[in-house]
Order: sequence, then C-alpha cells, then structure tokens
Amino acid sequence: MPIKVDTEKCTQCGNCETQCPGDLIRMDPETGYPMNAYPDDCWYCAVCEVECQFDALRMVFPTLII
Amino acid sequence: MSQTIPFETITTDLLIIGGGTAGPMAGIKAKKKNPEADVLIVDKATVKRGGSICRGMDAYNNVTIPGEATVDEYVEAVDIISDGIQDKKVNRVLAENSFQMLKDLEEWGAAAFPRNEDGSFMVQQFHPKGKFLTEMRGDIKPVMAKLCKKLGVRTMDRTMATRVLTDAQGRATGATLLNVRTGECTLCKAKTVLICTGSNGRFNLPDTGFLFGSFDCPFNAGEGLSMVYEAGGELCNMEHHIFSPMIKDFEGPGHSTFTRYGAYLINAEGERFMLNYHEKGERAPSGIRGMAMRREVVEGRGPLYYDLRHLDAETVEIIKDGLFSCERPTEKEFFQNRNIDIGKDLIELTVSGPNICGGHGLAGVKVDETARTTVPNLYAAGDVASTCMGFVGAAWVFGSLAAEDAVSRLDEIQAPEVDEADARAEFQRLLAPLHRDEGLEAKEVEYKIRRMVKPYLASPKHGGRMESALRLVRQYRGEIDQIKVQDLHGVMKANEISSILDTVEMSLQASLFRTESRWGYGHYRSDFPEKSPEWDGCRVVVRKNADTNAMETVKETVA
Repeated sequence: MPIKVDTEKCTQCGNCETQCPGDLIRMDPETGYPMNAYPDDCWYCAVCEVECQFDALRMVFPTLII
Repeated sequence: MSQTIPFETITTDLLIIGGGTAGPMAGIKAKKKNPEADVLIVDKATVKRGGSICRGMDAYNNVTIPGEATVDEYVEAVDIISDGIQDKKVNRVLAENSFQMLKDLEEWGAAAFPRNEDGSFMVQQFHPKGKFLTEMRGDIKPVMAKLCKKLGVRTMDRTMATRVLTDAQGRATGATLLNVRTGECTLCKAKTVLICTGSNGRFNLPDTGFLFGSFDCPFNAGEGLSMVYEAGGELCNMEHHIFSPMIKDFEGPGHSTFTRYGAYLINAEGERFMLNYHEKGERAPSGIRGMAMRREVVEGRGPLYYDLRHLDAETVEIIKDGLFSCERPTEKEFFQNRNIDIGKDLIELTVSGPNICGGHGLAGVKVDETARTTVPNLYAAGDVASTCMGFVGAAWVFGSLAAEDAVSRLDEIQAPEVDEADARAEFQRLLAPLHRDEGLEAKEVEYKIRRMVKPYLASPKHGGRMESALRLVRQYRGEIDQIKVQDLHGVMKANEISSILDTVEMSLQASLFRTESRWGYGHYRSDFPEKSPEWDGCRVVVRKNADTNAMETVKETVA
C-alpha cells in the first residue's frame, strides 16, 4: 500500500511509476507490477490513478488520513 | 567518502529549476520570445505532473479582467491583505499582465474558464475589495508539458537542483543537479537561472501527525528558498505565516470555495463566531480568521465546523464540482470514507498552519517587477517568491516576465564561469548520507524539526520561546549532518530536510526581528502585541552575511 493494483488490467506499462510526483512508485522486481516503495511519503494526490490508461490502479489513503 | 564523485557538465542559456506552475509557463514564453535560446527545465518530479497543481486548479484567484476589475483596485486589495507590506510595483505588473495569462491558457487548451449565460466570466470577490477570482477547470500540466516539448524546451525529469553556483562577481552561473533515480551528477552552466521550486510545504507538523499530510505540496520543501539564500540572495517577510481552515484530517487547498459560496464557520455551540472578530465574518483576512479559530478552540468552543446546510442544492453542486474535479480531487473519496455529505452534514475543521508560502502569503524570495532576485542573473517566480498572495497569477505572470527578460539579455551576458571545486564539494555534501556507516533516520530528524514549529514558532509568538527554538535549530543542524540513508530517494529527502530547517530558521530570525504584531495570527507576538507605526511599510529581509556566513536580518522600507 497505498496503491491497489488490479493485475487483470495492469499492463505493467510503468506510467504510474514514471509520473508519481513524489517518485514513490517502483515496479516490483518479482511481480512486475507497480508498488509504492515509500508509502509514508504519499500526498494522496492520485496522479497514479489518472495516469493509468487501463483503470488498473487505485490510490489508497494513508492510514493516518482515513 | 574521499573519492571524487564524477559529474557531467552541460550548458544552457536559461536554466529553469522547477517544472510546476511557473516553470512550464516560463519555458513556453522563453521560446516564444527567443526561439534560438536554449532553455532547460529540471524537476525532481516530472514537468508533466510536478508541483502544487499536479491535478489542476479550481480557480484563477487573482486575474484582473477588463470590465470586471481594475489594476488600481488589485493593488489596493493587496495593500489591505498585506497591511501595507507589499511592493506595489510588483503587484501592479501582476495585475496588468494577469488577463493575458488567462487568454494564453485558454488559447493553448491548457485551462477552461467557465462563462455565465451572457458570455461574461464567472468572477467572484475573494479579496477584500474587487472581483479578481474566476472559476477555472482543466488538467493544466500535461498540456503545458506538451507545449514545452513542441517548442523545443529541453526537460530533465527526476532531476533535483541542489545549489545555485555563482562566479567571483556573485552572479548566478548555473546549478548542481542530481538525478534522483540514477544518481547521475550534473553541473549545469547557465547564463541565467530561474527558480520555480514552490515554497515549503513541509513546514509545520500537521495535526494528523502525518509528515506528508500537508496543506501545500510536500514535495516542495523549501529548496528554492535555501538555494537563493546560499547564493547570496535576499528573502523577505519570512515571519508571515498562513493559517487556513481545513477539513479535519485532510489539509489541502481549495476551501476558500466554501466561504466564497456562502458557507458559515460555526463553533460547537452552533454560533457563527467569525462575526465576533471581524466585520467581514468568514471572509476576514486569513490571519484574523486563524486567530479567531484558535481562540474559539482554546476557550472551549471547539470543534469548529463548516456549515453549508443553508445553501441551495445548486450552490452545493457548484462547490462539489470545484472541489472534486481538480486540485485535490481525492477529497471526494475522503468525504465518502467519512460518510460526510457536504450539503447536509457539518464538516469538522482543523486550523492548518503555520504555513509558509509566497503564493498564499507574503514569505519568499525578494524579487522586483521582472522577478529578478538580488543575485545578478538569478530570477524567482511562483510560490517561492514573495509577491504577496500572488497565487497562480504571480506564478504565470512572473514566470513569463522572468523568462522573457532572461532570453532578451543573453547577448549581454558572458559565458558562465563556474569553479568546478564548488560543484565537487556540493556533490560530496549531497551524497554523504548514502555513504555513512551508521547514522540517524531521516524521517525522525524531519519529525523533530517540524514538531518544533507549532509550539515554538506559531502565533502567539514570544521572543524567549523563539530563542529556545534557535538553540534547537543549532542542535538539529548537527543531526542533519548525521543522517544515514539507504538509497537515492533518501538522498533527496536528506537534502529536503536541510531546506526545511533553513526555512524554520529564517522564519524564527525574521519573527524575532519584527518587534510588533501584524496580520492577526500571521505574526502575533505576545511580547509585542500591538502593531507599531515604526514597522509600517517595512519588511524584514533575511540574508547570509557575506563576511561571517551567519544569517542576518535587516529592516527595509517597501514601496
């Protein structure tokens, strides 16, 4: 967390990783899918969501915010 | 670490540091003015999505639309909210050029400005006088990034600028850059440099305790303020703090939307308390509103709420459209998670702040009406610069004017000279946290610095308490030098934390120096509780003493 990836839809294109303003997302070397490598640094702007052309990713609010 | 860090050297005519709001506008205007000029934008995020308006913006807060408002009215309005502490020349230029920005953005397809049925702009009063706010929609940044590319503006994403370099005459001649993904170090020699890094979104510790749960973009950590300071430039009004009513647990901009459309601020007793503090009620200046809100809570009448229950359904829908379509649209999901219907339920508030920002407040780099700083060939625009509540208008106008000025002067500026030893030393400093065998956790050092702000620096301020805070600043300087990080993301963060501490120290020094109270809780000192005529028309300048390298403050008349 705090992103949720629908692996049925995700093409592993990496656009979310490329555009995250905080540079928080990395492609998991084991699964190939995006993950938030620095969840404590998320501004919950959801750029990752709008940059996903496949509707495959959801931003999840940090626990201290929900 | 003793080995020399390798770096590449590149050159450009105009180096734009920061690709958020002002930066892309500057790039576009520079190339339109002088297509032959080499223009480079660097951003530690990306030009497409970096900065405070990464998701767009719901309103153009300060545009002087002919027929709706006048330039004189704008300057008068800023004079009221700044209590006379503004550079009138700067704000006159802002007002004169702001409508052209609207026309440009609309023509480029970057932003849309909804019209009334008769074709007029949907303007509203946001300032104490005059109607300078118009609704705005659109995903601005991807369009601006695309236009930059089309015009031949070079960009380097994931590239953090860390120091502005100067020559023997004190002129800006470039900057040190670090790619935060690859670790590649670059010395960029530049004839002119424009800082557009935003302000410091990570100033205080939000009430949630979440370091990145901030009002303004937390990826702007005051680096631009530090870079100008280290280059010998001057900053001003650093004692001015912003306090805004924020949704409890969701600190973010855009809530002026509520009050603009008639929402009430009420206390736990259901009383519309703002009328007890200011004739304009909820629309009082932010420092007055912040003071009122804190007093209500301290005196036991909290929590406080936004109350929209008296507004008609159409108005509530307009508010929702503004809040949920751009700027911080994730707020929609936040409200859903909390089961809050903003037209029917009371919305619990917290008071955000103190915050530092040249765009929403007064604090920032001192600039003139062409966005020139006091360092030759160095410009600053956007939230990093002090234009007095300049909002996006100042970012666009002064980004434009700085860029056009810079690329018009290229023939008269000699090839930039840089002492490569300065660059080597900077890269050594920057990467040191990566090579320490042991050290302190970056997050914990940041937490300690920011937890100091509310108890020691927020209004009501007191000289003794701020002196204590300066002792803590000295301690934290030593702790920053002990930060140990695991990767390049950590290197970026360690550099940001250093800038956060710089900002705190600047604000402490300026707050101590201004021995009066002004702007409500913008700067309220319990040991100097009255406004003093001796400070009328005067601002506090913060700079580095050239001989001692110590931070110094001076009083300056501002016209």
